Amino acid sequence: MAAKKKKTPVKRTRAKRSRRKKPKKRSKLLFYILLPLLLVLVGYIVYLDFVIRDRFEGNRWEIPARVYASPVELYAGLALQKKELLAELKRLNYRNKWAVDEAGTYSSRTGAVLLNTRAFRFWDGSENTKRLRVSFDASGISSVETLKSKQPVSLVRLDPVHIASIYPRHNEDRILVQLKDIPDLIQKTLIEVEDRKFKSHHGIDFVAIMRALYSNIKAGKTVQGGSTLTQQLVKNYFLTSERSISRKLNEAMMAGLLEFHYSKDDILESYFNEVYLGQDGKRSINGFGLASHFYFGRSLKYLKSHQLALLVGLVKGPSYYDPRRHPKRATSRRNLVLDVMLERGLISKEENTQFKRSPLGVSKVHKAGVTAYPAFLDLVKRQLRRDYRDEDLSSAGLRIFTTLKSDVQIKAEKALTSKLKALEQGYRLPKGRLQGAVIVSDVNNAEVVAVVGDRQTRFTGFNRALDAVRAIGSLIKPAVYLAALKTGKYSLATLINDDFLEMDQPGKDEKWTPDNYDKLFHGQVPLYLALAHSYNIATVRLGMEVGLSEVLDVLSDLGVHRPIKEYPSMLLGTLALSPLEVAQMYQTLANAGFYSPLRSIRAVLDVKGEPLSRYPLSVSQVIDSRDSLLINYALHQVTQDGTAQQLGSILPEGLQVAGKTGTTDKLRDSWFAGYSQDYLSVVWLGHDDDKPTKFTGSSGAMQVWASLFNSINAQSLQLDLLEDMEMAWIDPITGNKTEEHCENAVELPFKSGTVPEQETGCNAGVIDWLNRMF
Amino acid sequence: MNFVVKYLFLFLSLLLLSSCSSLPKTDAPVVDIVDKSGSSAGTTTSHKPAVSNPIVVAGLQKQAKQLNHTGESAKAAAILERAIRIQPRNPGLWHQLAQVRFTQKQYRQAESLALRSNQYASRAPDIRRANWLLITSARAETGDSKGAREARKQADKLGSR
Repeated sequence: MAAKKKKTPVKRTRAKRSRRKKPKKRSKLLFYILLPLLLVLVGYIVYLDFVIRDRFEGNRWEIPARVYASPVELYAGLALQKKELLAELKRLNYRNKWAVDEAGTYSSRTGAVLLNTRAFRFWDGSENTKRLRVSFDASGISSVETLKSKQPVSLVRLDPVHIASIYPRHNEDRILVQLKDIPDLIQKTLIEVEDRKFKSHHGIDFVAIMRALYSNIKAGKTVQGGSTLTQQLVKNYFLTSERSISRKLNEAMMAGLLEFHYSKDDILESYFNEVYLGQDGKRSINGFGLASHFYFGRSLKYLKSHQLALLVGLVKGPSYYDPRRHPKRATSRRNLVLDVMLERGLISKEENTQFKRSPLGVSKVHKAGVTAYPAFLDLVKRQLRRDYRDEDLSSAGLRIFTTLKSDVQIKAEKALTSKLKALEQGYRLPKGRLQGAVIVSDVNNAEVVAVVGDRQTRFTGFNRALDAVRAIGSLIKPAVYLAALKTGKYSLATLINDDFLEMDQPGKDEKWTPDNYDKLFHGQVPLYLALAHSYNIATVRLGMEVGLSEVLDVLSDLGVHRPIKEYPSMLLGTLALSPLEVAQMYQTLANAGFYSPLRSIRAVLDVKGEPLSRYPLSVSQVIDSRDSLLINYALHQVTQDGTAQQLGSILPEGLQVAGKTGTTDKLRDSWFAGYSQDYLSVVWLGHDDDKPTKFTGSSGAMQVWASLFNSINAQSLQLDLLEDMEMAWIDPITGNKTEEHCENAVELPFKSGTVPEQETGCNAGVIDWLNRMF
Repeated sequence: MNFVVKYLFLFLSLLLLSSCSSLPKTDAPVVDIVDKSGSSAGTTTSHKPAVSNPIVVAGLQKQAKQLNHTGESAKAAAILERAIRIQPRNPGLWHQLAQVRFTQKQYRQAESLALRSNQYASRAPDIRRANWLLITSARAETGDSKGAREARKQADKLGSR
């Protein structure tokens, strides 16, 4: 924007000349030319004033949203192994330091880990830095105590792992620092190197400009800059690097205006947070706060003098003096700054010599720019979009605390990728085409702890965990059986018919004759076994008896909100759901009939650390807990002598779980949904183009599931018998009550009042069966 | 003759069937995962539910109680949720969260959380009673007088103190 400014010296001369001839006319000319020009100038200055103040104050900086994983809590009795704690500390970028005398350091000892935690402000309170000794035994953490005084500490919350950032349009990134937290040395050094008269000038340093002009003319090129810190700050606000005279003039005026409105401290603080200091792929490193982490892996206040010197040196040209790409240039620039520090009495002669000899000390680049868990982040963003606009998400510096558990996520990814490879080999499938998805949640509070949406886990494309809507097959069966139990007319022992069934199909001539996977008929079977063995015919009969709309109601109660067509084939799972929706359904079952929406976010804080919104734990009882327990029992039987019985030989001894296999027509989809006391996981495997996989739910998805549950510290399922419930021994052939000592008797849970009244003796079942034969 | 044949056949069949595998497979011992006694006995030594040491969450409970009294219920709830993550089967924590929701006038949630607390309180009749009393009040507040009376009956069943 060109400044409309006339050159005053010429005007004065003209005015003088014409004054001798026509004095009155001249003053009029002056009036009509000068005044409007003056007005325009004033107007322009007012406009610049508005622009610069708006930029300085308003949305001062575009700061990306930071997304955090669930923090690890340490306490005596936690089943966490030493190597798992070390893995988390590594993810947190804690440094190995023997003395652990700095926050963010740790040190390994025999059977223990010493650590100095970082302070962190959570949404529900702050954690102070602590120096601790965490001791381990065979089962996990045996004690947590303060390092010095050996006082036991009941609970410690580590700072959470920063898993991703959501960047604003310009991909700028910064960590804000306040002036009081910026080391005095670096403040003084910056002023000495870049703008010696900072404290006294009013925005522009004419002497510096003249000196620079002189040096540049002498050298024949630009060797010095005469810009003050204030001018540089203004320059940084407007990203185009146009270097015209008009731009320079604008900057000078705006610098003057800034100095007029704001204090030196304000301007200096803004400078420390604004100045461009490097590039990390797409994201730009702005401000000394982030630069300190980017180059040295620690906060500004922990940097040594020569490291501070390097940062100051980078101001002149972050790419040209990039310490990783051009270490020689960076070192000479740093040493120049160190000399200035010496010259101005900021460091001693010995320090100057010592520091000039020191290596640069830059750390390896931490890939903070790349999101490690895109599928999970996708879920977080979708849940956030309900409450926040995209602009707020990416520029207001929000802090998003999620439910992700890094260790479970990593294990889920590993289970999927390794098993997919094994399945491709085992079933001779073309490499790379088979796909899958995994969702893991916490049974007790419906928090999503891991999401895998693609076998290429870093890929940000199609998120199968949330968007692959596929026929669920037998996974629907628990809803059918639950609908039956809900009526009160059925118990786990009720016999249902698994014989040949023929049904009319509306609008078709041919009848529907569903068959079982093993192509056999099984006669009269008790309800729990029909579910455990996943008998199709028995399920269809049961579903038709109970009523399709009742089954749909149950599905809705469980949290499935997708519209479903009310056809009998729905009973065998022709309806299609995403793995997330399946997880929601099983979540309610695993959680004793309490519906809680699956969440990935706990809280959102604003840039100052004040809570903006919370995503509270909310529950509502949708299924009678007793019915829920009966289904859980039956689903446990699935893993004992049902379709998932192989789990017994894969899982660790003593780990009891419940689950359901699902296989669709022509083996297109392989599903498994299963849970322990604490974790629920749904796994889907298949081809994106719907081609058959060649394996079933138990030979495919269940293998991934088992591999995962083998590696996380899952707790064994335990069902507490509730009020108005009792146990009874049943003969599975007749469905009648029997005695404990009878060979084939099974003990089943019942709602009070539903225990079969008829009693039979041992082997009576056999006789009954024989009588039926003849 | 038919008579003899029939019973001979029966005798032989019985012999056969005693080792027959066409019956549902129940010769494997049924795993005892249903805890009927109300005791905390697990079936195996490994993978038992984590030991619930009350000291771990005691500090959080105290903090939450204070915050709820001083009107910072949202923060109190957040702290209790944290405690529940650490000890999900602790009925006292769920009950306390139910109380906080009650303070916030979220009566439906208060009731649901109290019911949830009862799931884990098979060994703690005191907590069950406290839950039913809370449910009574919550239902009364939403105008469900019939439900409130039923809840009161449940509380009374557990003894009056």
